[in-house]
Amino acid sequence: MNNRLKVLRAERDWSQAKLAELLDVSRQTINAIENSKYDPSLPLAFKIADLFESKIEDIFEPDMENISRA
Amino acid sequence: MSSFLYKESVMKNSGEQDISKDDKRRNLISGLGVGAALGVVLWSALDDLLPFPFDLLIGMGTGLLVGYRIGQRPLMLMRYPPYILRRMLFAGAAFVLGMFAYTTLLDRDLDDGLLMLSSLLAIVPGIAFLFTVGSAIAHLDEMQRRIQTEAIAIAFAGTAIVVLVIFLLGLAGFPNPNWGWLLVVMTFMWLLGKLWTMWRYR
Repeated sequence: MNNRLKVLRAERDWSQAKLAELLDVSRQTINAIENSKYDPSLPLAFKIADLFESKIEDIFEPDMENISRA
Repeated sequence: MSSFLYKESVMKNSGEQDISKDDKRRNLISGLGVGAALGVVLWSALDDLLPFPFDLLIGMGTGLLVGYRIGQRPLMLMRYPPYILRRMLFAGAAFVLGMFAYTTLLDRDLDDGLLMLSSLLAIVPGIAFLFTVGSAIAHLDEMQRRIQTEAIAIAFAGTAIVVLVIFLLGLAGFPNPNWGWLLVVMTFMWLLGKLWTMWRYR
C-alpha cells in the first residue's frame, strides 16, 4: 500500500518522533509506514486520517501492481 | 480542538516527555536490588575467584548504572512504561536467584519430596517473569507486537528443529545433552527472529 504520510508530515513540519508521539506509536512504526514496509491496522489508519483531517483514501492508496499480481 | 492537538498541547505544557523524579529514584533502587542479586550469582559462578563483597559491588554498580541509564531516556522513546521494566528486572533476577538456590540445594542431601518442592523456587519467579513479558508485549504498539509475535514463532519453530535433531541423534546413540540449554537456545532463536523481523520492517 502506498501513502502520503511523509508529505503530510513535511507540510506540518513534524518529525517522525513528533508524529509517533501524537499517534501513540513508536517512531519505527511511522518510519515503516512511510516506507510502505508496514500497512497500519484500520483503527490506526482512521487515527492518522483524523489527525490530518482527511479521509483514509486520501492518504492511503492500494498498490495496484501487487493487487494485480495477487 | 482534535484529541491529537489537545494531547500535543498538554505534553508541551506539562513537560511529561521526561521520566518523573519518582520513577528515576525507583529505577535506581530497583537497579541496586537486582544488581545485588546478580552479584550473589556472580560470586557463585566465579567460584570464589573474587571476594564476595567485590562481586556484590560489581553487581550493584552495574545495576545502578542500568537503572540510571533507563532514567535518562526520554519517556517517548521508551517502549514499555518504567514500572513494567522494573517488574521484568525483578522477576528476571528472582528467577536467576531461584535457579541459583535450587542448584545449591541439589548438592545437599535432601529427600525427594523436598527437592521437588524446592524446584518451585525457580518455577514461580519464572512464571512471574513470563507474565511480565506478556504485560510488556501488551504495551507495545501494533507493529512492535507483530515483530514480537513473528520472533516468537521463529523461536518456536527453531527450537522444535533443535529438539528433533537432538532426539534423532539420541536414537543413533549420541548422549542426551542438558535440557536446560534449550532455554538458552530458545532465547537465542528469539533474538535472531527479532533481528530478522526488525530488519524486514526497518
